[in-house]
Parts: sequence; C-alpha cells; structure tokens
Amino acid sequence: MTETALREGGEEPAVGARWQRAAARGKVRGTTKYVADLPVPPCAQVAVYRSTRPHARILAVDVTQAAALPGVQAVVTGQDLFALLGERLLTGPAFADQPALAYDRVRYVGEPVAAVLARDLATARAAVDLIAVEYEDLEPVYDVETALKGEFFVHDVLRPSSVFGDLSHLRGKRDTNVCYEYNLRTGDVDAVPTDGVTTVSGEFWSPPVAHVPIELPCTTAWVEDDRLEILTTTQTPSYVRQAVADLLDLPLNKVRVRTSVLGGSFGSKMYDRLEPLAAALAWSQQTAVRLVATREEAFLLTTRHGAGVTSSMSADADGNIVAATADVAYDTGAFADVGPRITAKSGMVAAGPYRVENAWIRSRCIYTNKPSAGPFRGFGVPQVTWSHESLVDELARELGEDPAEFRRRHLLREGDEAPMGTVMHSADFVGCLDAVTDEIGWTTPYEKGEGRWRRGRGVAVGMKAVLTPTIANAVIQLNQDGSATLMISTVDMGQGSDTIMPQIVAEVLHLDEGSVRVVAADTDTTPYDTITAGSRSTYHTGNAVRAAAEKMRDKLVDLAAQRLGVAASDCKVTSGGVMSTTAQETVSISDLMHGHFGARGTTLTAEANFTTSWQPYDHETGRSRQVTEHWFAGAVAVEILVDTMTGRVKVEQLAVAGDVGRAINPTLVEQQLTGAAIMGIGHALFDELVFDQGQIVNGTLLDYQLPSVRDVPAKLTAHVIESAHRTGPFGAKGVGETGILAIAPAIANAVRDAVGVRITRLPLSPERVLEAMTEAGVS
Amino acid sequence: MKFGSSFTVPAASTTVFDLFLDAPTMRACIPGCEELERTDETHFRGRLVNTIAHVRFNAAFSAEIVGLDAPHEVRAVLQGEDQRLGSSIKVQATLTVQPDGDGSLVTYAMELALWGKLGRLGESIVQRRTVEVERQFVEAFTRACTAGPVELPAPVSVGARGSEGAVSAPPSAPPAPVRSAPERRMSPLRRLLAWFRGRGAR
Repeated sequence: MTETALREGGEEPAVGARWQRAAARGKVRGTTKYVADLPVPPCAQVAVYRSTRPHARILAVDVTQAAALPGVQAVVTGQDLFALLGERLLTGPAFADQPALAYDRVRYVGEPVAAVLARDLATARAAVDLIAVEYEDLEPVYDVETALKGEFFVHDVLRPSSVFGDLSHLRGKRDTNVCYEYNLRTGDVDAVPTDGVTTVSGEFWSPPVAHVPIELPCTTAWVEDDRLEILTTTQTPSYVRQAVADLLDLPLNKVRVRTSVLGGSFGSKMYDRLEPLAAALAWSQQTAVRLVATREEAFLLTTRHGAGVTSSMSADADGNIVAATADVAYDTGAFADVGPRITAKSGMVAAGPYRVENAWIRSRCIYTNKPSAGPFRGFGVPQVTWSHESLVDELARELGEDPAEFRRRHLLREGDEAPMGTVMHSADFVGCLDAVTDEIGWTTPYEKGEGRWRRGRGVAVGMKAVLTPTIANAVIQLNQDGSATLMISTVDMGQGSDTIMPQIVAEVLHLDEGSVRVVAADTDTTPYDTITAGSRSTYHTGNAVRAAAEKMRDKLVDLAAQRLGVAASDCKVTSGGVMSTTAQETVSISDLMHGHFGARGTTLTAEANFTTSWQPYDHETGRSRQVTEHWFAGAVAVEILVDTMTGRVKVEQLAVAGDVGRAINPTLVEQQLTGAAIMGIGHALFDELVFDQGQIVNGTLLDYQLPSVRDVPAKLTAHVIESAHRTGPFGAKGVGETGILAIAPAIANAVRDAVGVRITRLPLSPERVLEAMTEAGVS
Repeated sequence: MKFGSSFTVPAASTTVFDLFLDAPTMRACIPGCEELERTDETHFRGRLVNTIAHVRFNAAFSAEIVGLDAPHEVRAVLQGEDQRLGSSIKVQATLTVQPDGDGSLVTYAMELALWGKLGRLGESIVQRRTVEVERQFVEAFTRACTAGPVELPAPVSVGARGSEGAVSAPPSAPPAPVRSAPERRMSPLRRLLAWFRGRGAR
C-alpha cells in the first residue's frame, strides 16, 4: 500500500489519493447510461446472416423471400456493398483483409454474409432465416500446423493496411498463411558450449479464450445533415472515425463517432467490430440502423489468440542462463486484426525478463479458418510468459535451486539491456518478486500433505512493453466557478481513467475531488487519441493531461500576475487560488476569471499533445535501442491445493504485484491487479474456447466457463510497487495488464510443486491434471 | 466430432453390404430419414429430419460414395444444409463389414462437422443423441437383415412434439413393450412429514 505525503500547507495531494471511482454510484444504482441506453433516432433493426461453412466460395445469395417478408426494409449482401465500395470494403488495423460482409469467400463459420434491415428485430431475424446462400466448399485450414504446410490458403494475397506503415513490405505476398514473422537474434545460441550445460525444453499451448465483457457490443449509425453519426461501444473512437471515413470515402469532419463508459471490454471493443457494417448500411441505405450483437454473436467478433510455443532454456555449470529459444505460433483466425503487433510485441519478450546473452526467437502470426483473434488483456504476452516461466521454474529445479531465488539472481535490473536490445528503466522485477514471496511466506516451511489433498507453492514473473509509438491529446476547459471539464478520447471501461485523469488535473491546479469532469469520447469535441488499450493511457494520455493542466496553470499565473502587478515567477497556484508571495495576496480562480473576462460562466482553455517515438526493430535481428517507452513488471505467487482424486486445483492464496511507477490512485491500481488476477485464474484453470472443425462449440454462457466468486482465493492481495518512471506523469505508468501476465505459470509451477507433474497445456482442467498424474505414476 | 462403434447383425456380410447400399432399406433404418433415393451408382440424395436438444433440423442432403470395396468397406461423404436453422452438416464415414460367426460385424467411423447454430450445441449433447440414433439404427437394421430388403414405407412424421427420440418406424417394427406406470415417488420432504405423522399416529 502506498502512502502519500501532504503538500505544503497541509493540503492533501490529489495524486496518490484514493479518490472514489467516477460514476461508482451510478453503476451500483443502475443509473449509468451505457451506449445502448443513450437516445438515438428511430432505427431499422439489423440481423445478420452468417456463414455456415468454414471456407467456401460464395456462388449465389438469394434474398428474394427475405426481402418480401412484411416489415423488411432492405436486405443487403456483401456483393451489394462490394459493388458500391469496391476494395474499400476491406478494413483492418494491420491488414485490409476484413470485409464488413463477405462478398466472394467466407473464411469462418459465422462470418457475416448478408444483413436484413427491418422495423423490428424479430422480423429481421425471421427474414435472415429465409436467405439462401449457395457455396462451393474450399479446403479449410483449422489449425496452425495445417496452415504452415502451405497447401491451402485462407487469403490469396497479403494486403497491409495504411495504419501500420512498417508492414508495407508485405504487400502482394502470395501463397502463405503466415501474415507476419518477427525474429529476434541476440548472440548465438548455436555457439553456446554444451559442456556442463543444463537445458530444459517444452511445447506449450495456450488455447483461444473469449473476452466476455458484461456489456454486449452495440452500434447505432445514422445520417444527419449529410454526415454520418455513429454511437458505438468502442475503445478506439479515433480509429473508428478514420476507418469509416476511409470506407465511405468521406472527409473526417463528416463522420462523428461517440461512445460512453463501457461495461467492460478487455480488448474486445476495438478496431473494426460492428462499426464498418453499421456505417456501410446507414450510408448506403441513407437510414438509421442499429446492430446489437447477441451473446452468441459476441463470441464470434474476436477472441484471444491461441498460441503454441516450442521453447528451451539453458544454464551453464554455474547456473547462469546462457541461452533461450522460442518458436511462437499465434493463430489469428480468418483476419489479421492486430495480430502482427501482438506477434512482435510478445515475441520480443519470449525469453523472459532475464539476463540472457543468447536468444533465438521466431514469432509468427498465422491465418486459419476460425473467427478472428485480436487484442486481449496482455496483448499476447501471457501466452509466451506461460512458456518462459514454466521453463525457468523447471531449470531451477533441474539445478537444485529454489525457483524464486533462481529468478531473483537472473532478473533484469535498472540499466540492464534486455535481450531485444532496449535498456531497462522503471521495471522493478525484483521488488515485485520480493513482495509476493514475502506475502505468501515463501521461505517458511509448509505441510505438503500426504493424503488426498496436496499443497504446493509457485511463483512467476511477467514482463510487457507498453504500446509505442502512440499519440495522446488533452483539452482542459477551466470554468469561471473553479470547476473544470476535461476533454480526452480515452474511454473508461472500468479501468478508472475518468477518475485518475481528473486527479492529475487536480494535482496541478490544486482542485478538489469531484471538481473535474471527463467528457465522454466524441470525435466532434474530444481530441485525437490513438487507442485506449495496452495499459497506455495513464502514461500517454496522463502526460497530455498533465501538460495541458500545466499550461492552464501558467495561464492562471499570468492572469494573476497582471491583476496583482507582480512578476509571474512570484505567483503560484494553491488550493485557494493563485497566490503572490510578494503581495501576500491570494486570488481565487473564480475572481481571477471573472475579473479577466468581466462575466460569469466564462471558460479558459488549454490543450496539449503527448507523442512517443520508438526505434523500429531491425527486421533481421529484431533488436532496437528503444522498442518501447516503458515496461510493465509484475510477479505472482500462489499457494494451491491439488485434489489427487479428481485433479481439481484450488487456489488458496494468491499474491500479485505490479510496478506502476507511481500509483495515481492506489485503490484503482489494487483493483486492476486483483481483477486481472481473477481473470488469469480462469485462463489457468478452465477458460477455453473449444473448436470443432472451425465451429465454436461452447460459445454460449451456458457452456463457456468464467471465474465466479467461488474461484476467488480465500486470500488475494495486490501489491503496488512504485519505481517511478522518469517521464511518467508524476512517475506513473499503466497497470491494466500487469496482473494477468504470470498467473497461469505461477499456478502450474505450484501444481508441479504439489504433485510433481509439469503440465504444458492450458487450461489446467481436472482431467488434464489427473491425466498428467496418472501418466507420471503419481497416486 | 469423431464417432465410431461396431455391432453385429444376424446376416452374411454380402447381404449386409447390399442392404447398406439399398436406398429403401436405409431410408427405413436411418432415424429421421424422410427421403432417400439413389441418383446414380455413387450418389444419393435425401432429407433428414431429426431433433437434438429440442432443436429440430430439416436438412436436404447429398451423399457420395467415395470408396467402395464390396463387400468389405464403403466410404462416403454426406453434406446437408438446414437453411432455416442456419446450419450445415458434413459427415465423412467409413463402414466395414466382416464375417462374424453366422452373422457379420459392422464397424463404422464418422467424422461429423456441424456448422452454424446446430454446431453450438456442443459435442456432449450431439454425442448423447448420436448414441441414441445408433441404437435405433442398429435395431432397425437388425430387423431388416432378418427380413430382407424393405419396401418403401409411407413417410412418418419425425420429431413429434416433445418426443426427441421419435423416428420413422420401420415396417417390421414390433410393438414396443409397454411399461407399467412407475410408482409415483414421494419427495424427501413428504417422506419426512409422513414419518413424523407415522410417529404421531403410534
């Protein structure tokens, strides 16, 4: 827990304070307005006909019966939209490979092929049942092993989008299912002497999982005054505006994208989800349309990448880690989405947060005929952490060393160069590890048990880079009464940005809790922001907000200096207003602005931009001196019980720690760490999307298992580690993903400790644990 | 989804093999097969109506014999689509017949793909239904092996309301044994109350 020192004059600082979460009361009372609750014009309800084939050519789409159904306003096919928009119909952040409606081929079971606009949803759905599509089956590619054989291809040609410029060299590449490959070459793993070297290796698998936020995706689009209005559940309003403007060939000022607070997302509501289809339908039909995904449809919109990692780790006779290798294969499904970024950002840390002189990593993003995988809390890093934290644990055991102490000896420290060539700063892995091992009493003896239940302890460390480069902007409007309005395009989806951004403003301008309000993202009024994702907002948007607040502070100081006839350097902002030390006088913000403008209700505006840069990694070696703006460091320790009769794993105690640089709001940081840990328990023990020949067979909440309150450990503690970042706002960094990175390997390492079996495939279901114990002869 | 099983029938393997390729016999024996005709040496077409977990599907299908080693093995691919249900089905099946004493041992392996809404039901539900369908098929086919090729029966409605297991009745089907109505079971709470009443009565 962090403590905050009082400021000069006994004033309690805003940064570091445990302010109440914005809109907390409304969420508890059910009065918060989510996107689907907000008023919109009368709309046509949209239902979607979805492909019943995993991979097929569309020969004909017969909509005659559907269009004739009373109440149906229009039936639009992919071919209709393609005739209107051409290849602009293909959107996507990395590759322009995703049609709003399939027009020539379907690439997964459930892909939208046609849309019905009707006066009500029941009619629209009834009409969908009357659509007949004639297919010519193509050979499906169900998994990455088949995809890598290169016999059948999900796409004929790679089409890099204009969003990620560094992928342009892949344009026109044919006959491949590998849409992106990242390679890291550090030192020479082949030149490592073999004498006295201990090597452990494994084949690790993390299955695809679903995000399952409570709020379902909803998009409403309509034409007003010859421009397109979109109200949608999105983490990326600025991206959506650009994507829709490109799709319809409209100037940016003719597209307005609004959102509201989101009822959870975890990466599921970003980039191209319902918006391109809603926009194309509204614009082509010149009418208002509303799409709300059903729960079953939400399972099809995006998933977390299933990933296989074949890897090894070697230590010399002195116990130094001398080499690490990893061959990573991400199953991105039918569309690349942001898979290439995930492939690189996670591939670069696949050797783990350790001092490793020789590393060989290949990380590939691979198309298959399944629903598209996209961003998910952790951005692909949990999948490689599953590999390197299992390996390092096994290596320590092979060498007869304590797994925590072995890690502690090899973890990267401040100033160390990580295997991908970037120097570490503000990533206190050792502090995180110490916090969690102390919490569970790692060094104290414990009873392992000899009967049905066996006890074990496990630890793991995670490392992730923040999204870089990105752009953030902030506009502060200070009102004459001393309250402020903050305009940013960061979307609060539970992470608490609507709480901490006002804290940053309040810290600079010495305002009280509740005096700064955040305007919901609206591309007509809130400024450009790359994205609300990847734990980037506290750092990036936070820095823009801080800079805007500092500009506002300077404006107030100038106004006060003019009014009091003193030098600006003599004035400073305090909780009572602007004070002159020479004049020994304080002018309140209210009086200062009223005096300046001569009216009540006036506003003063300040804006700022914060943009980060990076040095793109070398295509041959994958190395970069500055691959990221900052790092996330986290650690997890658990104590578990294994039921040797059933294979069930019960997590009794879990400690999670994250280095956040500086906690703007420690309560929200603890909640982020805790929430991520609970989500991670699901991924470790039962979360899994099951596919059968391209068909999701558990894509309903009846069949898909999520953590419930009964899965929460009896003792769960979150530890905030503060290793201030030199350029973070007040030293702060993000924390949304840190807690989830190392959960699964920590639990698997504890299973290894309890019953002596090393399991390399997730989830650690009772069947899998029992099977591993049976194979190992553990009674 | 992969399924496989074996069963024995009381007929020579040549008889069994011929019956498998006889459309009227198969129509009578396959639960829910409302239509089946052989369009040429290697192709069939028909309609399958059945119910899984209260979801009724009605799919026109085509089947192609892709490998034939009479009277030992036949390989076929079946594809069908229920447009209204937004679902399609594909079955790749291999069936072998071996002499087994006076009868024959029939072994089959199926790779079943269910795509769309039907596919969401999940393997456990489909597998349970498949076991039931297999049992009905084996019963009907055993009767057919005994009685010989089947004459075309009149279509019988399938998947009657509330009767998931209802299938086309084979022409020679004997009447099902009539079970006596089970004794109505008393709930634990009622039993406890009755026990207390009994004590009070003593």
